[in-house]
Amino acid sequence: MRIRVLLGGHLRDEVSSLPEEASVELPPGACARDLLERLALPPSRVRMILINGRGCTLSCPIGEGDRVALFPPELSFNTFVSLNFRKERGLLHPPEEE
Amino acid sequence: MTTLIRVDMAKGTVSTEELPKEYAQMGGRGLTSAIVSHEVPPLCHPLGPSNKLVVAPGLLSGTTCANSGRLSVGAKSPLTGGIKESNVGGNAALKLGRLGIAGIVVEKQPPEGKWYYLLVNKDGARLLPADDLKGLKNYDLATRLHEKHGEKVGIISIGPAGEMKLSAASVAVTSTQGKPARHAGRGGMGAVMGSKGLKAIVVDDKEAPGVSYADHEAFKEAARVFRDALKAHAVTKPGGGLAVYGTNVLTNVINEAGAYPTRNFTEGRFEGAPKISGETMHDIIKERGGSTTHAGCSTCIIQCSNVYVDKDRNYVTSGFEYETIWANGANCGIDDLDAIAQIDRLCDEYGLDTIEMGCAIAVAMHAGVKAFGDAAGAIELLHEVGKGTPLGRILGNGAAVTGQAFGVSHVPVVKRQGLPAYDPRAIKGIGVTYATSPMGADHTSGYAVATNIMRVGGFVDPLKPEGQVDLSRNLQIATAAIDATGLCVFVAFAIMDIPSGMEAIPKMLNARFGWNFTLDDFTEYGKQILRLERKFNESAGFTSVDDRLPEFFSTEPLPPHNAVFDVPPAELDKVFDF
Repeated sequence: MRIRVLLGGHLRDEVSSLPEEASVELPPGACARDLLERLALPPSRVRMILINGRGCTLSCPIGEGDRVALFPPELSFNTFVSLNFRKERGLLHPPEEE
Repeated sequence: MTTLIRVDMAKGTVSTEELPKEYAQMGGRGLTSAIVSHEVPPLCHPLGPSNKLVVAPGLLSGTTCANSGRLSVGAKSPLTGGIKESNVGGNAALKLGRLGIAGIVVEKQPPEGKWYYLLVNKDGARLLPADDLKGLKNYDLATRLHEKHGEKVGIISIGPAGEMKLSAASVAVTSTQGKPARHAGRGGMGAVMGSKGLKAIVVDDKEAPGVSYADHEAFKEAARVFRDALKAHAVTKPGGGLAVYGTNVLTNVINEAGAYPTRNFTEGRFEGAPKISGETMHDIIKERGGSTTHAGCSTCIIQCSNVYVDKDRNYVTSGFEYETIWANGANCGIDDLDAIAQIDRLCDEYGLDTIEMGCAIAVAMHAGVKAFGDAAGAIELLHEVGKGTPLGRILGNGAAVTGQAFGVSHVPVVKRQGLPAYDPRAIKGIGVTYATSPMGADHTSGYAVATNIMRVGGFVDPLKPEGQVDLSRNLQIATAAIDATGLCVFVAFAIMDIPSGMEAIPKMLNARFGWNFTLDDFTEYGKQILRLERKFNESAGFTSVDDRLPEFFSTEPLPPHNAVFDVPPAELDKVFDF
């Protein structure tokens, strides 16, 4: 399946194989963790995952044509409370399993 | 920091007094709101002689504490009709703190047509004639005052919009580089300053005594812990998110979340967002040779500011930030960063709130005055404001007046103040803050502050109404306390994650003043400030009806989530149950 991926901030330099916004091919049934693996991004570098504009965890499934945005810890500020992610995950850790 | 300066504009006299007992422990927003609450008749006309303009550095301003350079400006607001505290960075708060000044209260009015500026230095304060400065825009004004009083002074000033007493008029403060690019934008504080015939306050801290400490060693230790927290956190550290990309890094984030108000709050995503995002801005500034990382405010180590230059590398503006770029960008359908930078410069020159102007221009575009996306048209409209034409005066009085003048029903204001850059249908917690803050629609008054000490836990879905009232209440309390310290609200990103940084704040206050504040006392302090502000607004005629969002937020679904604002009114009324 094809999805659209947007990378925020420093991730653009860290994933040199991708432009800032690109189409990526993933196997059906893939989740956010699979996308990170596909991009060779360590989970510690991704603090905020938005799938179609909703905050998600690493295990969240991705569907055909979805729009996935990845943001690193240094960008995941104030949105934290305004978007209301679980605070107990802590800013410095990747999104955990639900 | 014990001196209160009172300026009687009718007599042209200045007096100084020890900070009265009833204002003890008050600084920044705490002091401005206390003085306005106690001394300004709630039913007075905001532009009349009974209103008072209060300028106050925070409790920690003037010390060596990192990011302690915020200045509060308060009065009864001509925009909202309620109490207002608008705060600003720059270089003035540190200097006032070092001079031992807790606040400046500007009272009454001079004879019509007389203009003055106030010079504050180690010898005290005096009023000087400013008739030759009348009509100057902020940058020329700063140049003139720097020539006269030296490059190092801090300048608090108004531009032509303040002189015209327009409700969107700001109070400018010079940055550490001496540019009048930092503004107490919200609520028309510039109009109140203009109504007092006060063009500027020049703050010269040469040979200032500096601040004294109850326990200097303890202060240094707490300040070090606090600084270490800021330096350790991914968002606030050198080379971190704010330093590299500035606050505009939020553009892509909020746009992706579907909460980026577009074309006068009709959509939640802007197709032009990638062209005006923080990442794009960073690349443009780097390529042209501006500065992506920059301390615009005294004692700042976060450095979210920047210097934006044009294609020929000429300075255009600095402190070019998320709200300004959204208000005059996506909200007006404009995706040209160079044009938005020009708009920012014009707002700084005329002395206008960039959020209110972006909201007003978008409402005018909704009415067909100009087309959405017409950057040249938006610039033309700002010049109308600067010239004081009838159209310009309508726009310069904000989004609510503009909506009324042009018969628009889709007007995003609360208490007549334009909404900032987060659509409350897609981020409902911030919607509760917009609706209920005593300040009118204000993002900073209940943002992402200090949730740890407030014990706000658990998942609160941004698209659901549940839990938003508790969240907003706790944030509003914490923010009121932070705003009294003179600390930049961005320190919260670090200290909400690093408890030692949070605990350092009461420790610094105690070491500075000899108090015994605990974190709980600090929370109580925030509540006390909010109670004062609420009480003033109630006496000024505000009721629960004023704590609501405009109707369209509950009737017009916002794409892409197609959400409406549905926090029940009865729930909104519980925000101040504390």
